Formats: sequence, C-alpha cells, structure tokens
Amino acid sequence: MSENRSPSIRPREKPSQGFIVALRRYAVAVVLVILFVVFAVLEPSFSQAQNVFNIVRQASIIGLLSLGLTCVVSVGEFDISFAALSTFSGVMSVVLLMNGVNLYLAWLISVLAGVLVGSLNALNIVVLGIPSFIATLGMQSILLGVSRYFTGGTVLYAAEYPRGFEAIGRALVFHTIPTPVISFLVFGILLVLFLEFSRSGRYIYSVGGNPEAARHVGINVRKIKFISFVIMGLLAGVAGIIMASMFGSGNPGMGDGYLSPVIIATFLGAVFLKDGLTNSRGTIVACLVLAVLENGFVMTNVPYYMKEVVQGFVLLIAVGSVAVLKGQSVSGGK
Amino acid sequence: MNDGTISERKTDSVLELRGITKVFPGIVALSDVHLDVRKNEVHAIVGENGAGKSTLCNVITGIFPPTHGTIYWKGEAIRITHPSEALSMGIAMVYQERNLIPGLTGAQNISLGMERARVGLIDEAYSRKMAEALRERVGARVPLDVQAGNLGASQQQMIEILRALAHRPQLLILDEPTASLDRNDIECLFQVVRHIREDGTAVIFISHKLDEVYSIADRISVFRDGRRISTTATPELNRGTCIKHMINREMVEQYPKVTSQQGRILLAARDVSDGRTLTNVTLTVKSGEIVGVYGLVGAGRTQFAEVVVGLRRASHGEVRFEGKPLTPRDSPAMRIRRGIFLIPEDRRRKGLFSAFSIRENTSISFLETLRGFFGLIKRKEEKRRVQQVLDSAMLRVTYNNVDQGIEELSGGNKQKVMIGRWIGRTGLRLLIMDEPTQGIDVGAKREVYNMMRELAERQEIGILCISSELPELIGISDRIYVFRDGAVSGELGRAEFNQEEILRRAL
Repeated sequence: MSENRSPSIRPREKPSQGFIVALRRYAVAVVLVILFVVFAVLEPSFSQAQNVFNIVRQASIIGLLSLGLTCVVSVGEFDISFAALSTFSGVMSVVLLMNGVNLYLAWLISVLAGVLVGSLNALNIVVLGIPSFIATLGMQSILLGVSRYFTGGTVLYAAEYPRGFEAIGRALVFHTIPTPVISFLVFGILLVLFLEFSRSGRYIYSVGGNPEAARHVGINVRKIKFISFVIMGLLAGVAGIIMASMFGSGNPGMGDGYLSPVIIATFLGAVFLKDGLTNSRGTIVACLVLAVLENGFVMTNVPYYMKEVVQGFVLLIAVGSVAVLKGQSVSGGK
Repeated sequence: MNDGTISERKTDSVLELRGITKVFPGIVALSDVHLDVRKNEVHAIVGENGAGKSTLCNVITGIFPPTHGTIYWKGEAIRITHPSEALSMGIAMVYQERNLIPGLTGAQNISLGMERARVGLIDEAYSRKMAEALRERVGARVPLDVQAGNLGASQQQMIEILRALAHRPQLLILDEPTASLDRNDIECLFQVVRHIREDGTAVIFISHKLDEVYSIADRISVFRDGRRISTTATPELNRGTCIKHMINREMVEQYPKVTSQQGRILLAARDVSDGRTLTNVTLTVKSGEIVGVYGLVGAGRTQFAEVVVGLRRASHGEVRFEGKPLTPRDSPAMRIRRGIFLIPEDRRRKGLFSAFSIRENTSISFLETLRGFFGLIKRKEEKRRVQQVLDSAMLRVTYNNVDQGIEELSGGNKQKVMIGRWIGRTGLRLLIMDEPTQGIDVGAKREVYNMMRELAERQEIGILCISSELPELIGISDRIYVFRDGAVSGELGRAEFNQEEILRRAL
C-alpha cells in the first residue's frame, strides 16, 4: 500500500556497495584460495598433485553427505540421521560380503537401504507430521543400534574381501586420482544440475522459501519433501559403501566423525553465492575449505584438536557476517 | 457532516485527539483527525477497509507516533513512545487476533506480566484471585483453569479482555471483537462491555458490523480514507446516513467499457460449505464475463476461492468446472492444468518467493513447459518468455533485468509479477483474482482493469474478481456477488449496481 508512489525500482545500491555484496558472496571461495596459498607457502609439499588429490578425497565423503543435507535443508527440513545412515549402509555392505553376496549386488542393496531409510524419514515427517529434527534423531538412534547389532558390537573385518572391494574407496584412477574423488565429482555435478537447473530443484527451493506460495502454484509440497529425503538417503548410502571400502571394515562408529563437518559445510556453503541460502555449489566449495583446513593442519603439524576449533570459528564468522550484513540469518529457505 | 470542531477540551473526555495526521511513504493513513472519547461511553469507530481504523489505534496505543497532531490523555498532552507506556498510562487494547499463550491457563494469561513473586517463585494464588476478581466484576463466565489453547474462540476473547482489564485501564480499545464469535457469545460480550462502561472505563469499539455497533455504542464516529467524517449519538444517526458517510460517492477512476458477451458456464458452485466459514455458497461464472465478489474481511471470499482452486476442502456442496464436478482428488496442480488459476491476496505470504529472482518468480507457474535435456530448465527460453510477459502492453513491469531479486521491485511491480506469473501460462480458462490491485497506483490499476477486460473479451475466459474496493468492482464487473459471514447475501446485475445497496448487504 505504501509502495505505490515510490520510484518503480528501489535505487540501486551504490557501486561500492555492490562490491561489498560481491565480496560477501564470493568470500568463501576467496578464503579457499587464501588458505591454499598460505598452507602451500608454509609447507611446500602441500601443493603437490598427490596431496591435492588427498584433500579432495578427504572432502569426498563430507561432500556426498553435505550435498544430501543441502537438499533437505533447502526444502525447509533437517536430517540428523545421515551419519548413522552412512554407517548403516557401510556396515551392511561388509556383512553382505562376508556372507558371500556378489560385490555389486551388495553395494546395490546397501545403497537401496539408504534410499529406503530416507523414505522412512520422509514418511514420518511428511505423512505423520513428526518434526524433522525429532524424527531423524529417533532414526539415528535406531540405525546406530542396528549397526552395532550387525557387527556384534565390534569392528568387522572380513577374512577375505572379493576382488574389487577396495575399488570405490582406495583405488586410483589413472594411477593418480582416488576413486572417491570421482564419485564426489560425478554426484557433485549431478546435484548442482539437479538443484540449480532442474524443475524439481527449483521446486525444492520454492518449498523451502515459501511453502504456502508453493502450494498456491500447484507444487506438491509433500512429494518435493519426500524427494529431498530420498536423495539424502541415497547419498548417505553411497557415502557408506565408499567409507567401508576406504577403511576396509565394517565399523559401527565410522560415520560419527562426519556429523559436525557435514553440518558445518552445508551452512557455510549457504554463504557462498546465495547470501544465506543453502545451495549446492556453496556446499561443494565449503567442503573443499574444510578439507584444505584439515589437510593443511596435518601437513603443518598443527595439533589435531585445532581443527575443530577452527571449523567452529569459520562457521560462526561466516554465518555471523551474513546475519549482520544482511540483517537476516542463514536458513534453508527464506 | 461534522458535528463541529472541538475547540474546547471537553472535561469529561478521557482521550482527545487533535489534528492527528499519520503519513507513511507514499500514503496518508490519517488526516487531521479530531476525536474525543468520554468516560462511561462506548464509542464506536466504523469505516470500510483502509479507512484508517487500525492506524488510529496504533497511534493511540503508541506503536508509532503521529506525524502531526497531539494526543490529550485526561486533559494533558502526552507523547507515547512505546505500547508499554500506553498500558501503564491506562490505555489497553484487545486485538483482532489472539495473543494468548496457549500453554498457560486462563488465569495465568490474565495475570501475565503482573504476577507477584515470593523468593523468585510465582504466587499462583495471587494470580488466581486477581483473575477471579476481574471476572466477577465484569460478569464474565469463562473457566480460568483451562489451558488457553483448549478454550473456544469466544472464551479466548474473554480472557484477553480480562487480561487487558487487569491493567486497570481508563480506556479499552476493542478491535473487531466479534469477528470470531457467534450470536450468543456476542450477547455475553456486550454484557461485559456494558459492565465495563458502568465501571467508568471508556471503550472504543471498532467494527464494521453495523447491527452490533447500533446495539452497543453510545456514539458512532465514521471514518473514511483517513478522515473522521462524523461523530453522532447513536439514536440520532440514521443507518442510511451512516452508510453514506462510509462510502465514497465519487468514482474518480475510469473503467474500460463493459461490452462482453457471455458464453457458457465455466464455474458453477452450488451450496458449498466448508464446515467452518462458508455456508451454502452458490455462484456461477460464465466465459466472457467478469464477476465481482465483494465483502468485508472475514466474509469468506478467499476461503471460497481456495475451495475452487483445491487448497481447501468443501464439506458440502458441489463445484463444477466446465460442466464436470471437481472432487478432492483433483489436486491444485490438476486444476491449474484444467485452466483454473488463482492470483492470491497477500503476495508476501502466499505469492512471492522473496529469495528468488523476478525470472524465477514469474516462471514458477509454467516451468513444466520449459523442460529441456534430462529435465533441465531451458534457461534461454525461460528468459524469453518471462520478458515477453513482463514487457507486454498489458503489464509493462519496470525492472532492470530478470535476474534481479524480486524484493528490489516496488509493490506495484511485484503485484504485476504476480499477475504475469499466471498470464504467462497458457491454458487459462477461469482466472480468480484476490485483491488484484492491492498496493498499486492509479495508473497501474487502470492497466490491470484493461487487461482484465481484454482477457474477458477472449471468449473462452471468465474472471472472478475478489476485491474490497467497491468502486473498482462496480466499475469493471458484469455481476457482483456480495458475501457476508461466509454466505452469499446478494447478487446484483450491472443495472442494479449501487454502492449503498451492496454495502448494506455486506454489513
């Protein structure tokens, strides 16, 4: 009512302000470059090709999981069960292999298990109406318990793994590129295409941004939320079987360490390009930032506990600056 | 029309407004308002949507200061900078929407903010006694120990009134207090209001329901377009005169000539009820015509639109589109595919995606026609079609580029984007527009009216236009349905259009 007599377009931000906005949007990428350079200077072997691949390999698992979480958060929900789910899938693959199941079949089943759990989460949240944090918290507990049950409470080592088991976790393509990197690359591209350039991706952001408006446009909000959780489940499953292959074992605790970094990466990524909205490209860059930090610390002999401290600081500074500069905080939608 | 300017301060006035003006960027909400409210009186303020009633209350209760003018409270000029100040001075207000804490009991809500504590722990007995005393004094009948969330609408209302009274106000403002009450409850409410009045508290009663106003108010002030038009003692104010004061007789805007020929029946609603707001709504829209829907806030117009579009279930009755009945199984998406489009009111809440660009906000309704390889959106095509719609003669949206954030546009242009979203999609048969010219200036409104006429002239399209602006509806509609309290209270053909008649049926 009050807007009708003001100029038809709000006055553009001053050029200097436009620069600040651009800086804010690309800050994370800039930080990535700066960190890389700093570590490369401090420790020359840091920038060697092999180490770079190491970095990306470390980022891969976090990357897969946070791409999934990005979908869920972008649609306006949350999922805390992803780490436990990846553990569950990984453990399942080892158990199946130990029982003589064909390698590819075992992998397929384990990933489908991830999809199934994702669907169950969606059912609880979308159909039953349980708040997503609670629903996935409950699922996390269940998955952890089941994983422990499968492994009898210890870490499972198969006497002999079928040939090719290490292919997705420890092998090298062209003798240089670790296979998890390939997985991260492939899924990264797929998810970016999906979220940023496809209709369903646009609908995901719509539902997260304004579910009421989405309904008015005819979007099936339930279906879109369902899809998000299924994608999370799928990616958690894939991450799980890669983890099992990497570690060569079924460890009911192998996903635990990923809970924090994945959440941090997802919300740190929100700062990149989108001024506070979780998005796929941001997540990828954020994963690289976290991996560079971790790897850099190792290479420069920084005490291991500093990693978490710095991760926490990075997240607070990044999200905090968006909140202060923009007057609103980070979210999956608005 | 005025009862004369108030030049001397009335000695039994508890509140006096002099020359109150409130200006927002681009709009004058209140203009030189003089008003006095006396002890022991129920003073009603009536007016159409947008007359300035809410702004007036906000100024009195300190939510924002007036741009010009002075407020006199008990004879002294005051400046209120915060609602809590108004409360401590003795001005309390009960809003249209509930503000109770659902998890606390009635008594706890009533004593909220006024509890007594001993050693840090709340003295519940004290709160309970306070609440009970208030209830007795005022003659209300409402349980005090039930959680507020479990109380019915009228009971919640009563708790809120008691809560306001707990602060011992000398002035109590009630904003549309009967909006969610049924007949019995309204009578109970009136008893309570009479008690309050006898007690010495002045009451400002804001309502658009003339029946109620006439039965409870001592004086009635009519507001229109931000001005106080008149203040009269109730027995001396003829209802017809009251209505005349409420509406604007001059129709400044010019509307395109209505020349449509009506075709077949597009929409036929029969006895539609939704179990809550709507009761037996029967309505038709034919292709080639613009059907207006008038009514006051809460009359059920938006709810009806939501039923037609599939966002709300009808418990009763039938809606037929192009002859075929619409069932709950017809999802909103399916109805869109059949050609029923809704441009919702309240674009901020129900329409726009504030994080999206202009492009994304516009194309969201026709994304499925832009599918390229592997389901990816054809971005060049999207841009072309969005620009085509926004640049069209009908809309002429002002923008820099389609990838701008939608929030950078002015209100009027945002509304045009909302319209463009649906115009840009092919297959339109029935266009339902809910407050389509909300927030846009006169020039833009004219363009929208022309667009509506143009669309209606395409013979297969019919338009259902919900609006609170009576002159607008009278100008562009072929027929008007009047909604009141969830039912259709009248249908008028173009020859019978008459502002007073329509308003009478709406009140």
